[in-house]
Amino acid sequence: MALTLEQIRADVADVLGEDPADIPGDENLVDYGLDSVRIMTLVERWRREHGTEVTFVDLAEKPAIEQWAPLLGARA
Amino acid sequence: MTLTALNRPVGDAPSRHPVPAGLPLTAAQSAMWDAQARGAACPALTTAEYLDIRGDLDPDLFAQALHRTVAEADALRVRLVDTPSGPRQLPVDVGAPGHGFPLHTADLRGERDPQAAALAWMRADLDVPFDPAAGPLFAHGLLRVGDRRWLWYHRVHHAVLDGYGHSLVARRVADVHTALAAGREPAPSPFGRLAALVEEDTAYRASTAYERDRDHWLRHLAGRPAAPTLAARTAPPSPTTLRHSAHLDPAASARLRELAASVRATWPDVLLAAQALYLARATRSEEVVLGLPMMGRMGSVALRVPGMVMNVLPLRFTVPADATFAELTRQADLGVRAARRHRRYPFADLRRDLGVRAGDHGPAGPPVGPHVNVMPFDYGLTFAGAPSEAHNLAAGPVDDLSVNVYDRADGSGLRIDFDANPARYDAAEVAAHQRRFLHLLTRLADGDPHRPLSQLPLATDEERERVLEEFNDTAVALPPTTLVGPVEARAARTPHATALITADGRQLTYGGLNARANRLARHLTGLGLRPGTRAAVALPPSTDLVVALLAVLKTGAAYVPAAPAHPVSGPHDAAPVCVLTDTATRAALPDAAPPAVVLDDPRLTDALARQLPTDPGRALTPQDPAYVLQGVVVPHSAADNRLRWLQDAYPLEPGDRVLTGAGPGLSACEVLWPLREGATLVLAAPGAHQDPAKTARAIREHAVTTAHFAPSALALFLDGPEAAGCTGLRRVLCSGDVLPHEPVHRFHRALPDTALHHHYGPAEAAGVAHHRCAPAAPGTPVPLGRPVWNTRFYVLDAARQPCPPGTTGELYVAGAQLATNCPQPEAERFSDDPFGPPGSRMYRTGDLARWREDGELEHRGRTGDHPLAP
Repeated sequence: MALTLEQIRADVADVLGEDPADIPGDENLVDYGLDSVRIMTLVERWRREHGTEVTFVDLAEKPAIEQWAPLLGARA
Repeated sequence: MTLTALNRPVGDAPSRHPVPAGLPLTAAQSAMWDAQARGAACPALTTAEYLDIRGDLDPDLFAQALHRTVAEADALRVRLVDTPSGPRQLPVDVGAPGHGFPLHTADLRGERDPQAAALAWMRADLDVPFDPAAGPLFAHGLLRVGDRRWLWYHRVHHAVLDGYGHSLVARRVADVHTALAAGREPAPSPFGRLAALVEEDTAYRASTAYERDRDHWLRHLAGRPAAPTLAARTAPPSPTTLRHSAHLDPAASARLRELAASVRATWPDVLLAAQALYLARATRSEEVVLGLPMMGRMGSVALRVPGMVMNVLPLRFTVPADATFAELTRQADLGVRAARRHRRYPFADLRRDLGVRAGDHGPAGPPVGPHVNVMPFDYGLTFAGAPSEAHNLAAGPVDDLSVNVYDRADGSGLRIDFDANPARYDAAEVAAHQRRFLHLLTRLADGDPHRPLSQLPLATDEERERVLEEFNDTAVALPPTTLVGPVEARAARTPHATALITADGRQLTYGGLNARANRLARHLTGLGLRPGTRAAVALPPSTDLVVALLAVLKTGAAYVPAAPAHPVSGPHDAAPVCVLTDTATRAALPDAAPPAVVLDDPRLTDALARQLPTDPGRALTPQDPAYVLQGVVVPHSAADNRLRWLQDAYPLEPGDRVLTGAGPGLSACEVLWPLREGATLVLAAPGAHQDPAKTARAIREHAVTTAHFAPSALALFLDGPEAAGCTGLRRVLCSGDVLPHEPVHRFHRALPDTALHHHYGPAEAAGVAHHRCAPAAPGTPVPLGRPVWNTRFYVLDAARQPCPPGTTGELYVAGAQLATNCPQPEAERFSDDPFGPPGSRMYRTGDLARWREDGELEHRGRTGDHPLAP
């Protein structure tokens, strides 16, 4: 099942322990507490549940949901 | 190969000046450059690791992959030179394998232990410093240790590469090797350029984000505590690093991850919180600041540059005694998140902003304590199908302590390295801290994170057993007794032996002294003295004083010395039945003094002559007060325990002559000890404690073998040139307060053949510790010593849990020599002894101390004071 923007936001909120409504689409998620361990958690989760093939470096290079969406093949 | 990026200056250089060659250093590189300039040297400035590769490997292909990867990574191929415009990095040519490429290859399969031989070679290689100005600043080794096993060794100057950079290099070498082995052209280089790194760094320093980040950190560190340290001493950074590696077992590692998930944190947060807890407990601080190394690459071009980027950020914790681990983990999580928002601000700039002074360990000292560096990545690399495991060998310079945690998927659990500055820690200390930290992690993993941590001990079970039992193994069965019984026995056996010599040379035999004391005792009994009552004694050091002391004890009453400077009966004293004094002293006594027994009154002399000179009958009174010193009530059993221990530790013989403490008043124990053992008591002249020459003359003239001094009086005595002439002294006993090292040093110089013993103890627990002072270098602190017979010491942390050896805590004492009572506010210092037999008590000394590994106590200041410099 392909990822959606909504699902990305929900998963990011989950690893950060925040409300999805508080996670912006265009801001640097590092400022919201995203770290390498949490990015690795997302990489693993999305590989397992959605068959994506992004690497840690791909996500860490531009840590914002809107930047990730094309890498993850997500639609709004 | 051309290196255009390196040759191109960044930004618009002023055209009138010649453009300096190469590139400036990034902030992270500068920090390492400065460390080197401050005297740090290789190997501490090296980072190194090796990959254990299991399988078939073509060493020539591997060398090609290595060379190709290095050629792609311009950040690696630099040398560092100082120029008038600051340090610059210049490109350096690196030859092909076999033509100058720094790759050492060896087949160690012929060695008895090939892996050990390989590791030995690596360690030796780590000691060879790089020449920054010459370069290259990296080196490789490929060591064959089995038919299908290879160790790839890689070391780099830390100004060139950090830990994450190592992983980038290793991954690319593996990919290139795998492609070459399959006959494929490797994928294009994933690496970014060094120039991009420098450019990003330069842009950041000129940005408003830089200003914002600085403001954040200065606010965050306002009122910061001194950097916590576990070290017993201060010292500058060393050229080497002391490393102890250990693994947290896989089960405990897994439980820690579950614990982290249960409180919605990550397992690195748990490790940070645990280290904060450990530090806070071990340093008695409610606030600690850890150093948090950050890979510093998120959202940055640096993610693809194998260079030096990492930064260190302060992580401040508040650790109240009753905090829960869930709360501490939450602090770690929030703290790391906040730090991450301001992650780029260079640590070196922060030190500068804070005005940190090198060598200062107070509020102007370093802003952070030990670093906790969590590396959550396993490489999981394969080389043409051969799997590998990465092992770190060196992680860079260490000012104090760095806890490096590696999560590598080899099934061995978390690897937890303690890297220490060897000038501050010895191997045993590092090992002990590491063992304790792992023990703490295991307990946390097994515990409820929502329970207060106040009951969680820092010491391991083995350490607890050692500090509570082994160091306090002092039990000796003693018969119940009174203090004066042994004096009477001596008088009966050797009535003609000399018991007493006064300052003016008059002598009194045991028979004579005992008879005088007996007559006075019988008289005092007639006045109502008996067990449970008190008699004040206001007399100068004299024969009369000794007689009075013995007489009061013979009645069973308690002796209350009352120097004229002190009121005879304070508000806390049970009122004395009478005061024993002389005509001269009586005039200085307050009007409200109890009835006086004036020893030089002729009417008393007549009355005493009518009393019998034989020993009066006495009940055994071990628990009754023997004397009361400024309100502190000391029972017979406590004083007797002390005197028996003294006699066992350094036996007095009848030929010994013992000079009493040259101070105001006389200590009951100092008087009684020689008289119980058949030795001779020598009374110092009044005021002799302020006159070293007088004291020395008394020691020489009366052939004194044993002398008592208060610490201050000893220092004064040693000021005089006469002290060195007192060579007949066999031993000097120094009692009471903490003994500074300076008089001890002078003592051994003046009297090299005389033993110096120190007896520590407050009035409420006099003489509870003993230390024989050995000659030591100036500046060496004098230990408090070990507990005497039937005495136990506890060094407790803020949660009243026993501190392990080496950790400072508050000193408590329990056992036979405790006073039974004392005035407020000191009375509140007594409490139930939770570690002793039921009903026993302990006394809080107010001193800070720590156990040495050998079971001696060291003094570390007073509670409420600033702790001593670490």
